[in-house]
Amino acid sequence: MTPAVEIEDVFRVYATDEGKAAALQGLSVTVREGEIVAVLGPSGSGKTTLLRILAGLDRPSAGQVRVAGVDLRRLRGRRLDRYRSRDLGYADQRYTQALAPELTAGELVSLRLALAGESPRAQSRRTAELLRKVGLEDRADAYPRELSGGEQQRVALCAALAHRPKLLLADEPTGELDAKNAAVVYELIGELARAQGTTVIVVSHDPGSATIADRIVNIRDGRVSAERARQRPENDEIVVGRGGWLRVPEELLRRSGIGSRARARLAEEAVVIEATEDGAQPASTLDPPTAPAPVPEADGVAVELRGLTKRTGRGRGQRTVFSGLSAAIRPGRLTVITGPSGSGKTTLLHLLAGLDLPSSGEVNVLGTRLDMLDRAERAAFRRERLALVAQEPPLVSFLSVRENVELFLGLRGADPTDGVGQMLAVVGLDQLAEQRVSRLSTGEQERVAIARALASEPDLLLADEPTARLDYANALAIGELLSRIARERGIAVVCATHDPAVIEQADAELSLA
Amino acid sequence: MFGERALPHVRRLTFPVRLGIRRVTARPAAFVLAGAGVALAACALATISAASLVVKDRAVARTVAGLPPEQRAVRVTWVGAAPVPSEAWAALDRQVRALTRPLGTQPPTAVMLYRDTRFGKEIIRLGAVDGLDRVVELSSGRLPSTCEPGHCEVAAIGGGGLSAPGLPVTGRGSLRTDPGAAFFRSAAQGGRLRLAAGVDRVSQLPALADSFRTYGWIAPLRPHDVRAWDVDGFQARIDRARTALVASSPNFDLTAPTVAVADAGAKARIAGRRLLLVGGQAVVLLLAFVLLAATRLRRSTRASSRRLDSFGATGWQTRLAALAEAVLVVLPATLLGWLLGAVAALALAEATDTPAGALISRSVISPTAFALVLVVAAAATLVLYLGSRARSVAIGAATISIADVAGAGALVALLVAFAVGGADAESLATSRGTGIVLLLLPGLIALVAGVVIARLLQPALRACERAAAERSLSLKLALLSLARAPGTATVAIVFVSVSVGLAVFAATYRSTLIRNDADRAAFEVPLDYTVKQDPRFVSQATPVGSAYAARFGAVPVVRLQGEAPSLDRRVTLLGLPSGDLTRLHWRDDYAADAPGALAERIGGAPVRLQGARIPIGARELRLPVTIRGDQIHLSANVRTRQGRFLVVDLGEPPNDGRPVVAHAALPPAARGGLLVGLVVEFSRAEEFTAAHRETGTPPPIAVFRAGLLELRRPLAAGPRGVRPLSVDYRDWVGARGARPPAASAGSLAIRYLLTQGQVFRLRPRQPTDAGPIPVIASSSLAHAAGVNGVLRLYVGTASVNVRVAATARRFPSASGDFVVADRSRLETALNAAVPGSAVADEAWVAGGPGLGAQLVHDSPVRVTSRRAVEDELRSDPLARGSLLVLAAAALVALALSLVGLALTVAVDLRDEAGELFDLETQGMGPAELRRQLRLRAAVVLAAGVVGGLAIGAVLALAVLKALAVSANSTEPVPPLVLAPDWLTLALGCVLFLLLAFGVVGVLTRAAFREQAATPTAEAA
Repeated sequence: MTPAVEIEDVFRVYATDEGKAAALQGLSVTVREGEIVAVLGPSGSGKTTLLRILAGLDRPSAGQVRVAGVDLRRLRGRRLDRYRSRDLGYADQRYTQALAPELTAGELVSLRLALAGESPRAQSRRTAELLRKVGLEDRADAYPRELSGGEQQRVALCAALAHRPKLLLADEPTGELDAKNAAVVYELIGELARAQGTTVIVVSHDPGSATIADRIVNIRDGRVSAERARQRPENDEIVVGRGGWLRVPEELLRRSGIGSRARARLAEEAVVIEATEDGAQPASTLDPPTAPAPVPEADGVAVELRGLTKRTGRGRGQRTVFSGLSAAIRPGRLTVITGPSGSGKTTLLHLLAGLDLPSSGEVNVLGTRLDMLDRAERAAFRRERLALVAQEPPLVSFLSVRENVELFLGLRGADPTDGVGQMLAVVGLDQLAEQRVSRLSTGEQERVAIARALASEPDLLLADEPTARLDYANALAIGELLSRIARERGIAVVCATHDPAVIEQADAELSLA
Repeated sequence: MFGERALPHVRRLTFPVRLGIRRVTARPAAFVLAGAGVALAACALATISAASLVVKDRAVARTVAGLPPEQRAVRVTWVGAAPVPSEAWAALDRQVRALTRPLGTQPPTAVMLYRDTRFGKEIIRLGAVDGLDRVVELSSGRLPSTCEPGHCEVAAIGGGGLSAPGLPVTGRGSLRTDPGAAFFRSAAQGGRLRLAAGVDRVSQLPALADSFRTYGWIAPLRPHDVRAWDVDGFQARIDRARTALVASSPNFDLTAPTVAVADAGAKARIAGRRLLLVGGQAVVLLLAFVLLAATRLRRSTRASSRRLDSFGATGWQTRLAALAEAVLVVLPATLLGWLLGAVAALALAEATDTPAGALISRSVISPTAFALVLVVAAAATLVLYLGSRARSVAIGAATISIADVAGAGALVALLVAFAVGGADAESLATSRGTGIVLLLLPGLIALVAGVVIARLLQPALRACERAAAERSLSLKLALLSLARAPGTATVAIVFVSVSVGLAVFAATYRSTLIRNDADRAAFEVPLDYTVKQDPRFVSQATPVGSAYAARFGAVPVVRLQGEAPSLDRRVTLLGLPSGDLTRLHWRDDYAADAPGALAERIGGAPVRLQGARIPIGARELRLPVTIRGDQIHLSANVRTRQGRFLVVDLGEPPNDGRPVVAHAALPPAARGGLLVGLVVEFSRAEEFTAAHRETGTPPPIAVFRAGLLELRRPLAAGPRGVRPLSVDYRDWVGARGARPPAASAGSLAIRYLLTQGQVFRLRPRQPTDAGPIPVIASSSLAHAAGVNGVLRLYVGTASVNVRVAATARRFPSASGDFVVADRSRLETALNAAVPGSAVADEAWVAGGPGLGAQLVHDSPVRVTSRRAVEDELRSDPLARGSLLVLAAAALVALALSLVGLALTVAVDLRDEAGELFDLETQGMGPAELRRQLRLRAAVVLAAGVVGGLAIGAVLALAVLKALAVSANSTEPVPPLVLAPDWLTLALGCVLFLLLAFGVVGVLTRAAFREQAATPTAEAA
């Protein structure tokens, strides 16, 4: 039987102002028809590039890419159009940008069908069916701006599946969803794929994707590093690349103490890899958490909220995000704000950062009533006391990674070069320091924002879904890092998240359910 | 309608269109600016189209109003003797009225005039008018009322006024200025004109039944009887009426000022075509604005296209959706703009008293206008579509965009256009292709300049990155954003450059036209007034030049028309005191040398005409002579004390060899004058006979006269006796300056041999005999004169040798080829050759406005005021219209530039909301955020203004080269030279910058008001 997807030795090199950057470096993988494959990997490993090539939105610099036996590199014009309009379903990672703001949820779901010339009746039927399956049947007439992030993500997925594609590519389909909604989405993908025989490639860092995957493919540095079949969950297969290249999982390297050098020897039918004396691995900041140190009893309150109410919109469109919220957040702790999509986690962080003002109630941060300050004073307060890692941080696109960090150190009156390299190394971006942030993947941009926040040594660190685009290992490490910084520096770290990797390391939880 | 199988295809085709429409209708605000640009372009075209027609109409009306009363009418005349006058006149009247009704003039006034007829002892010119009070202004008596056979009351016009039998005079008066009165103007000379009331009755007078008469029907032409759009139609109707009348009777004739009206129409057409330049400018500007708005939409359009791509739309579906968007924006905007233009045209019609229906139907909704609006709509759609979608293509290391390709194409078109040549008034009036070139010229130049600026900006903006080091945070961010993300800044700078450039061009071209009006006036009137002898009066008074030089310090000018036979050219000779050259209104491009240097080349100590002074008390001039040979005629040339020349006829003394004294009375003017020469010529009687004999046959060789003439010293006789004049014949010369060989101080003998028409002059040697006189010559004349630069010029029979001492391209008041000499030399040389051939009958006077009245006081002169000429040029409707439209164009360009800048800032605020939010989250305050945006806008503004000045200069120079037409649509003499009004430009720049900073300040202040920060906006 012809494999649904064959990728052989694919390279993708981008020319940038800073030189050439390789997103894929000899990646090879094969997917059978009807198979559901989850592609996992850290941010910047090339997952999204792989999907864009398979979607015909990008072309490989070298290598073979065939879908249903058709070489995508040779597809042009009408044939490419036909492939993308009929055979392919694509759910973009940046769903907020993928959804046309002028169309309703129902119209978005039926968009592909309309473009394909389906009859209005067929469109309506299919749209209703899909929206019902994701629990949005009553939101068909809502515009994207009226939907929460999770709802938008579900609409985007329905739109990608509406025309019953042969191949579904989903890029982080549950990135913004809480566990419950993520489960719904995965269930939908699995159900539809199996019902229609659709081949699915899901790029995700969410272990939940594994629940529906027939196979999990790990990629790192633009290559497949490991594979694991669902039937054999405990046995990762390390992929041996052309020329004998293989990627030893980080976990194994760490446990065996292998750093920059190793020695390999044959032992009966196995190859044993050992650390050399000079290549032993030093302690890394992003090491997974060891046993957490006990939380010291911190004095005082870093953040105090009293009777906080926030409403958005006006008139009939007014919506109360939360009402009468009172809470206290102590320094020296990692406090997570949890709650389902649309519960107001981001709004609360903006109130704590002085980026927004409450409708009523008090916001007392580090002894200052932010709701009493004007915009300039709140900016000055942030500059001196706070750091915020925003969701999908916009950063300054025309600056490099280093310049972005230096800019904010300069803004705070600190030595712009002080500790920048170290902080970038902490988040694993020291190799990309001179790249413009616009060239980075979403996950890498998230890490730049974290490095920037940490470098400024704030008294209060706020983070909004900092691990939403990170793989599990990195998410775990970031969670540990935030927790450790709270303890070591005695500052309050407040993190809005639904990521268990972070929640499990939190010292306190403020639930907005 | 469609089969089942076709339906999916139809849906696939129509859905992207619906999607595009949906996108526009869902977010109309995003497209408002692009739509506004298109609407304004359409509105501008419609308004300019209407304004152009109004300007043309006013020009034609002004021409008609400026015609002399006798020409300002359609005149039908019938000349002959009527066998049955009563029936004939009634029939003629009916016929004429029927045929002239379609002309659109007022109903004609019937007039008639008999030939001079004897009534008793009086010779009378009897005429009649229907409506006598319109023609006659009574000074006494009453208007006649009845006309019966044997008793026809008349009014006497002019002098005289005696009653004749049967024609009692009831009143006396003069003719009014009515066109009907003009019919009798020449007949009124001599005081024999009598006018009766009622053509019908007068034509039936039995006593004059067989008399030759002229019937006339005078239809006065009011200024608006001929419309600019109807000039050709008017001509055609006149021709038809004339043909019909002449066909019915050869005695008919019809005259109308069709030539003057046609000339006015041609001038108006030129002005209209020049307005195309402004129209083209407006369209370019607005299309550039649409392009700017389109590029502002680029991010949103690309996001939309990406979405459609990710949703599986085919390439053509994506393009179709974008095209539908563009069409949906452009189409209603064009219609709206055109409608607004029609409203503006209506307002214009109301304000200028122009028929609204005719104006609208011939401008806004004419086929040409429809074609124009379609072109604009298509261009706007293309600009909007490509502007929001087009991408660059990398060829090797270079990146080529669609703008580069368009710019290269425009450059080629410009080079071809300029190689073919510019447009002058004539080609503008006749050539249709010229209009298209003018319409496209600003666009092509702006496009090329825009692309060049965009290309130059890339390295300049990259330099900003180096400049960013060690700057304040706000400045550093502003410079780095320009250096690393130059796309939007480049488009904004180019737009500001183009709009400011077009404003600068409009202002500069306007000031150039105004300057040219002043230059033309100064060229025509080199000082403040030009005073010329009125040619209708023969005067022995002091020539105007000398008289006004003495009284008003004027520059006396000798102006003559001459010829250079060797070059076969006509030449204007000007003589004025060389030292006065520096007083004239001079333009640097007239000559390579300054007036002072030119004056030195032709100047030197003044010279005077030499001669023998005649005592002031002398009454008679006597010349002792002895003639042996054929009879000859003698006369003396006398220069009067006033500076004029007289010929004193000494008659034809006996030729028998006996000494005689030829004598002649000295006219009073000659007394006290100078005897400057003696003339020997053919005997007058012989000359007449010879000339008569010559007629029809070749002149016989025998037609000459020969002999010996002995002259002694002339004498002046008066009450105090006879005194010899101080003549020393040794200093006298004859033909070609040769000294007669047999000359002593008191006598001279010459042999003469005269052919018919030949004149032999004897005169004192003159200072100018030494050699050719130095002149400033026109460049082409100097070039034609060759290396030695000596020319012989003829003024009538007088000749003068001139040497080209300097050249000038132009000289005030001289057209064509010219030579300018020192007045004393030119006068002396010419008057030596032919006394009286050069007199300073012109004076250039400097003085204030009050001087004009003094200049004409008691003098038969014609005075032309420079200010009056300038005012006349300025008040021309074509000139006023052109200048007004140019001023409006400049203001609109600047206003659009401000809107473009505001749009840039607003879109930056929208597109960079995420980054600004990020900066704010990190603690950058509103003031710093504002400062960053303002600094960036300041860089855009500064670069745009600099680029705009460059574009404006290039455009103005190119247009001046391509379009040699003055403000009132005639050939500019002197030619147009670029004359920027630096003060206005500087003030305009300052005002523009202040407004721009104000706009940016308001927008950035509003963006960071005291409210919550705005998180990342959805990019689309």
